[in-house]
Amino acid sequence: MVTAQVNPTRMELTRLKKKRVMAVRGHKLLKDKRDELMKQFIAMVEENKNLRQKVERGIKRANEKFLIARSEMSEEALNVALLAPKQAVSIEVSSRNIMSVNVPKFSYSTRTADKNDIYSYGLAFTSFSLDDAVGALSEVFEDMLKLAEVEKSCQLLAREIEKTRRRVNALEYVVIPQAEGGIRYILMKLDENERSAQARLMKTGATK
Amino acid sequence: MRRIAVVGERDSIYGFAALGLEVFPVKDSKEARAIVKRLINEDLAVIFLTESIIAEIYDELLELTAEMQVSIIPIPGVAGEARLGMKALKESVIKAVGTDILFS
Repeated sequence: MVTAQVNPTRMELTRLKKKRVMAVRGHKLLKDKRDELMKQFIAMVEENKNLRQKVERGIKRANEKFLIARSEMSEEALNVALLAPKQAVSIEVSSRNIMSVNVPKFSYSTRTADKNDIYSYGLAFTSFSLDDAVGALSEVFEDMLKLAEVEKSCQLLAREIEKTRRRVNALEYVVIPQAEGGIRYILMKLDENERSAQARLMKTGATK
Repeated sequence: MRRIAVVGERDSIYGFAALGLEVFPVKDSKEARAIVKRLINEDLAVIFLTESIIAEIYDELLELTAEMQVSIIPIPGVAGEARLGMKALKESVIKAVGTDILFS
């Protein structure tokens, strides 16, 4: 254990003692923060996993349907059908605070209230498989947004946990031992000084 | 009000246009990187990228957006099974917990 060079003075001793008290308190707080973050993270990551599986399945299914639709229609007809969407989606982002980590929270709104506005094409020149495909995609969309929210939160939490863990470890294994080593060194040095002063006095006969 | 974008190869993403999302067809990840870099400075909240496009640039983009509110989310495309999304999730678990508790 390398101890930082300290001056063996009473002032330094007081300073180190204060530092140790502060470090111990900070360590306890940060440890609690880490534990709580971890708890939240584990719950969220579980949700993230489930959502991702669900979304990946849903998109896969929609893609298969699009493939069928494509095979039934000409490229141009498909382009025309999807070129001018009637619907537009925008989202409102608010944030939620988990242990001082700001995670996003989405609520989305569509331009028109009608759910059928996603079928923005004439029915005469399009295959019914296209309806099917677009419908399948719109079903999975809500979960996609949820996934985006949860996945970003997980990333933010993971970062914060990593940061907090580093701090906890730095306090536990570096700052606190260093302060304690310094305190012990100063105490011993002061005692030693006192003893040698005592011995000197006794030798000169100043004390009985 | 913030927007949502979908970036990927054309065949995988044109369906999202019908839902009212903004689609940006790209051919390779280089093109995608340029577009995403432009998009994250606009008022987007979520950018979905198809896995085949994002594979090479995901780490870079994550680093880029770590401090921002925008979410970069990989989604499966028509071709291939990249499994990148799950891999990324696993990595963030390892980063936070120190070990993989999710799939073991």
